Amino acid sequence: MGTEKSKKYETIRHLGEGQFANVYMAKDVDTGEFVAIKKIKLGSRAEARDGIHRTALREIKLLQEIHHDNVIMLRDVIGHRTSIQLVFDFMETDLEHVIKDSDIVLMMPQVKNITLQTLLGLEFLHAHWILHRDMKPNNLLMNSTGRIKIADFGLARFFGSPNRIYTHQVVTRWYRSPELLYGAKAYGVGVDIWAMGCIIGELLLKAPLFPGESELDQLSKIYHVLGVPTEEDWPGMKQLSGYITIKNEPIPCLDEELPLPGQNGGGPANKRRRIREDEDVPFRKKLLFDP
Amino acid sequence: MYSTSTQKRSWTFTPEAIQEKRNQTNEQFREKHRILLEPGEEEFFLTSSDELLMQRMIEHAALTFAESFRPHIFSSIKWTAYAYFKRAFLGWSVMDFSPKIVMMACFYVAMKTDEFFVTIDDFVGNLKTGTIEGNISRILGLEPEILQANRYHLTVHCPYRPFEGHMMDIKKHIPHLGFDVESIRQDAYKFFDECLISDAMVLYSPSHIALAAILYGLSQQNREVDILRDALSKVLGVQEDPWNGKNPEEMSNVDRLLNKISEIVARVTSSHEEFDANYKLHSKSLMKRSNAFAELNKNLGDRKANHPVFAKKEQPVDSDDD
Repeated sequence: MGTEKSKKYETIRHLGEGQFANVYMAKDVDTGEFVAIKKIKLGSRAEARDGIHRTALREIKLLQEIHHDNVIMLRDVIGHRTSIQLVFDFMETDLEHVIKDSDIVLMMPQVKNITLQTLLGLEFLHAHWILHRDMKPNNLLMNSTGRIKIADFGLARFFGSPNRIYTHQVVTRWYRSPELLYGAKAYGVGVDIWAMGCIIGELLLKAPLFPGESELDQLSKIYHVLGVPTEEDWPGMKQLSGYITIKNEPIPCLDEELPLPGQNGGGPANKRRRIREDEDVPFRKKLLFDP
Repeated sequence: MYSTSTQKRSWTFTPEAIQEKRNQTNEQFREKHRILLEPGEEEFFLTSSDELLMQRMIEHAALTFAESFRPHIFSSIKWTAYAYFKRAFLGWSVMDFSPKIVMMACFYVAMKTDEFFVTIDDFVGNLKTGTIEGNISRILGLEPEILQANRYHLTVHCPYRPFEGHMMDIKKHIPHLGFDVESIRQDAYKFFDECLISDAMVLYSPSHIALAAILYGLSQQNREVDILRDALSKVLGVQEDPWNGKNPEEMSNVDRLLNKISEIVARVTSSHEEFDANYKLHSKSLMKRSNAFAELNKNLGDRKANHPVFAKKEQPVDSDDD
């Protein structure tokens, strides 16, 4: 059965290699559509000591259950003697490339469009009790028609069981929320929403919002912009196992830092200012401390 | 979300369809091997009902395995493992796959897919038979086969969470019960274990099974079914006016649901009694015949190797094999 199914796809080129998988671009022979095939390696290598890697099982488990325009579709799974192949929609690029490409200028409508699509996908996941736990530009794929799809469910899981412990070692550091940095073992959709705020900020700035170099530096980068949260902003913060006190610094005046468009179209378009509490910036509400 | 799940779409059947699948699986195994047989040998093959009893015996034994597994596992892992096992054996014959090691491998896969992390070494440390390396290679070898037999549908919705939800509903909607509804929990969990040795999970939705567990728990204490009927009518928002009482049309829906739930209790209970009886009557003779078949199967292995029909069909090698 495996062999018949693999003939359905014609490999075109190798796209990249991950720790546990190789990714190829291929063509669906029947429909002519392009697909991306992720070949999960099986076998007796040291890293496969425990069998099929659980990130692969997570992707299969979750993506088989959900279908949404803004979530990558698992079209097929092909079992093979030496590998398991996951067949996905083919997507031309991802937001990390778009952000890094200095030839691309993202205008406000485009940022809004990307944000809306991503939020629709994320809303769908959360409504199905799935936390993504690795939201970042690199995992937001885009095709030639501008469709955004959330991809890479290797860290994703169902949530909502209060008796389970959740690891805080999730989400790439720059997009990691303060509760995770403080070692929370129970958390919710806040971790994805925080990352979303960081992503929107990054789309606007064309640079990472909080590029922390360590977990500690991550917190200080966040607090440098948002201020150190008080017990009032975030009740219960000090009970988290990894809580550390970080000294507050005076927030410098309004004239450097962030190139944000002025409120309601008012103010000079490129005036660089620091975000303030009272300012209605699109991602400010996603960067709230109390999750 | 159960309503859109692969479980509902692909792994929920009628009792007749399940029987049909089991007969087919048994027949396919016979069909495939007939060409190798000498006259009279087919008598050694297990029948479809032998196969089912064998699976049930393994399911029965695995309850103890799950109970004694360390670190202690969640109930949902156990349920998930049984689901993988039952689904796989709808298409597999116990003459082809040893149900015991398949069950162990199903537990291993379920621990991975249900976010419970043990290494393969820790896992096989819990097995009482076989060598460490032997068990590891058999379990890891079965892993991709189990995924394939489950058609890569790995999300299993269990009744344990709906059970908690229904219990909360009862507490909320009938505050003056006169007894502690928590007292039915132990019996309800006994019922869930009995479900595991039945076809319940491939016949009914997890929420209905959870309600059946509550009904079972209530009946073990000789409580009125009306408690559940009352709770359901409130949860489902049946219109009630002080003059005419509950809207009869809507109540007939509640009663239909109650009938369904009673059917589940009846089926699980009778399936459990049937297993007990069969186990006492036939398990010894089944073990004997299964050993006799194993002997024959060794010979069949040799015959296969020399038979052109069974000569290994080489699969093309993957481009990134190394």
